[in-house]
Amino acid sequence: MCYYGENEIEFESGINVLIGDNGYGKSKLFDAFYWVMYDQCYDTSIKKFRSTPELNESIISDKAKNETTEGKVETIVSIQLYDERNDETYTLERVLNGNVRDDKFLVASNSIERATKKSAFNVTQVVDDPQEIERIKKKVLPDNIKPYMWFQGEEIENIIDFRESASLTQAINILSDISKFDDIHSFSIGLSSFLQKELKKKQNSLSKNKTESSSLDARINQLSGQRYVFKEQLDKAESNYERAQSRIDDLVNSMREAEKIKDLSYDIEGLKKDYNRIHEQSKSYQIGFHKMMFKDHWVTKGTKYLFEGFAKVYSKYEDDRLERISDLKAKKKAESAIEQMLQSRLPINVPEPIYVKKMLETEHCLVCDRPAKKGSQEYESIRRLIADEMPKSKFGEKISEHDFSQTMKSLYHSSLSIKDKTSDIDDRINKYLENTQKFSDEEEELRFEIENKEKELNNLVLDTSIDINTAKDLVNELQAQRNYSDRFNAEVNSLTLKVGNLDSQIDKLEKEFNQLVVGDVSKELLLKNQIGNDLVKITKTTRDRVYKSLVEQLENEANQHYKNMTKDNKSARGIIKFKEVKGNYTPILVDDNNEKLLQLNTGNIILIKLATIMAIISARKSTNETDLYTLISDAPTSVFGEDYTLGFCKTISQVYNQSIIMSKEFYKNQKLREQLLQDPDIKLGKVYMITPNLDESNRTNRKQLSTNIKALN
Amino acid sequence: MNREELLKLYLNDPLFKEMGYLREDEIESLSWSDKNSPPIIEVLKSLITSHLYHENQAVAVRKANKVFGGEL
Repeated sequence: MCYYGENEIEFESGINVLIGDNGYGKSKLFDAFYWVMYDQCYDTSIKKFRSTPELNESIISDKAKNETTEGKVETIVSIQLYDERNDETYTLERVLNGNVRDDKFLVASNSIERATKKSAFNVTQVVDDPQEIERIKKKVLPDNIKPYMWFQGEEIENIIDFRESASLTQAINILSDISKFDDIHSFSIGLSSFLQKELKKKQNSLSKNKTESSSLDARINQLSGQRYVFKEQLDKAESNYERAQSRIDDLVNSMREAEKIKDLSYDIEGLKKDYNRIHEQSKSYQIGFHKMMFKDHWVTKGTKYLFEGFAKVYSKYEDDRLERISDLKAKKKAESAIEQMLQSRLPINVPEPIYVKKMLETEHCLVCDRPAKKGSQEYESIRRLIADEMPKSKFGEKISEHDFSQTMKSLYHSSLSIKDKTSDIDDRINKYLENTQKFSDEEEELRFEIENKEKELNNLVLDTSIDINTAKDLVNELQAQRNYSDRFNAEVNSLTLKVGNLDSQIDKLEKEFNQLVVGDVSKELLLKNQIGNDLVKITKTTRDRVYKSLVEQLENEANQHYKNMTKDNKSARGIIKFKEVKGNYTPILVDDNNEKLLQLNTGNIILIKLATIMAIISARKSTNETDLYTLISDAPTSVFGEDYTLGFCKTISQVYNQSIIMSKEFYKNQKLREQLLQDPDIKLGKVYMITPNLDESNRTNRKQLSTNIKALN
Repeated sequence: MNREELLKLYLNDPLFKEMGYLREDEIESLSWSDKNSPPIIEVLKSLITSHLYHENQAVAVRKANKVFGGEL
């Protein structure tokens, strides 16, 4: 795999942490432990353990294979374990041999297992016997404890099945010493049964009709056998019914949550539509705002004084102009008066132009009847009568060089129509701005509402692990569970009836059997039977009492661990409660009012499971038995986020005498890593950083790949 | 958990008193080494011993039954 050359890692008591990013080789170290013990490695791609023959040469370093041109390539993993109790050291070793010959790499089909044992007197002996090696391995980690001590992060969820009420009971049975009480109870049942048989035998010997008694006894035994079978079925049916009911409760609540998720999602859709509509309106209003600058003359805002100024200028201009016209008229009038006084010719158009033309043709004035030769003063005087060549006024026609009167008039008239609109421009702009603000407020309000709803939806989806698509599956499962529940309920009723009938029949037969007995059965025999029966009851009630107290103790311990692990996280936590269902216990999370918290997210469920297992381990700590075993877990914290990592490490270090965990959280978050190394509440073993020798871009080049292990403390 | 602790746990069962096998003061003073304890306690001790010695049920039953022989 990715380890090349010789690598040695030493672990101490407390929590030992192997830090590295994804793909850096953490899991391969977990595999190394597992390979030595069980000749298997975990294949993450298929989520299954695979044996050496299946894994074949993938176990061997590619770099080693690449660098060996001829000869042997050996992969050895060696674990040294120290048994404090007996002061003994075991070395377990697994070897896989490969060979390069003629450029071909050949690998052995099976690995070789080796073991040595070093006694307290420092005598080392090789363990040859495979059975002895197995015994050592069982001592290192018993099979029934393995699932709770060595696990992959992704396996945690399967350690205790919350849907299977016997699952926690099984864990408690394995990890606690309740089996002592089960054993003793079982012995008392055996004894009672033995004593009953003895009594029956005696009673039979005292029967007045031995054949009848034997027949009755046989019948009783037969019916008792049937009763036993039906009772077993009844217990199973009751358990199934309880489970189906419990699941229905969960699903009904899930349905509520799913409905809520669906409603929220529809709400968000609706709100988004509203938001888009308002946003479009707001956008067109914004564009309209710019148009209104000209369309509604907003551009003239604040120009009122210009209108007034212009009116004054125009008025003055007109006054001046009229004055100039008046002056001109007066001057012209005076000039005309002077002209009239100096008049030496006929007035204009007198005589008529035709006579004037005739006079010019004949060169003779018909008014004064004198000759008017062409070129003479008289001729010129006659000609001017029609030539309109009166001498121009010396004052001219113009009143000024440039006449702006029309332009100014036009501007003035235009300004009058605009001026009216300018007066309430501020109100109109304010009104428009108010509307814009209204749109903006509505947009903001909708955006806020959408954000809140989305947050609520995300939290709900996160907490319940339900998305809209799964809601439909929930409906189908609810229907299926209701069908199961009906079926199991019918089974319970039918079996209860059968067991009841058998009890009545057995009672009746017992009476008949007793009536056949003549003479007295010895008091001692009856007392023995009584004691036998009473011991069955006492060992059962004691077992139940101890179990109940153990469960209470576990509940407290689990809550303590759960609290410690969730300490740095602000999410709702709840209280772990072990709910009893037909003698089995299921962990649930309740609120302060003892109401079940439903649809927990995966992180919560895993924390409850870990807290429960830790509780069982720590409850057993007084026996020192669990101190013998090391917890080894690959990426146990990957499923519940960084917030929980330190709490988890703290708790683990306090519960397990020794633990080894692989984590990427401490690689990515340097602050977290420093906290791990410095936190006085964490009983810390060794901490190692695992990194590949190649940088990220070359890491795929497995032929050069090896792994560096650096101790951080 | 040793045999004494185990026995104490059983003796704390209220049924012993209810069934009239032991009085409160007897329960408190009784220990594993007491020879004059009632037969039910002797049988129980036998069952506990069998468990501690990892004996199977048949052996445990036979040994417990033998206790009756001597006591009753």
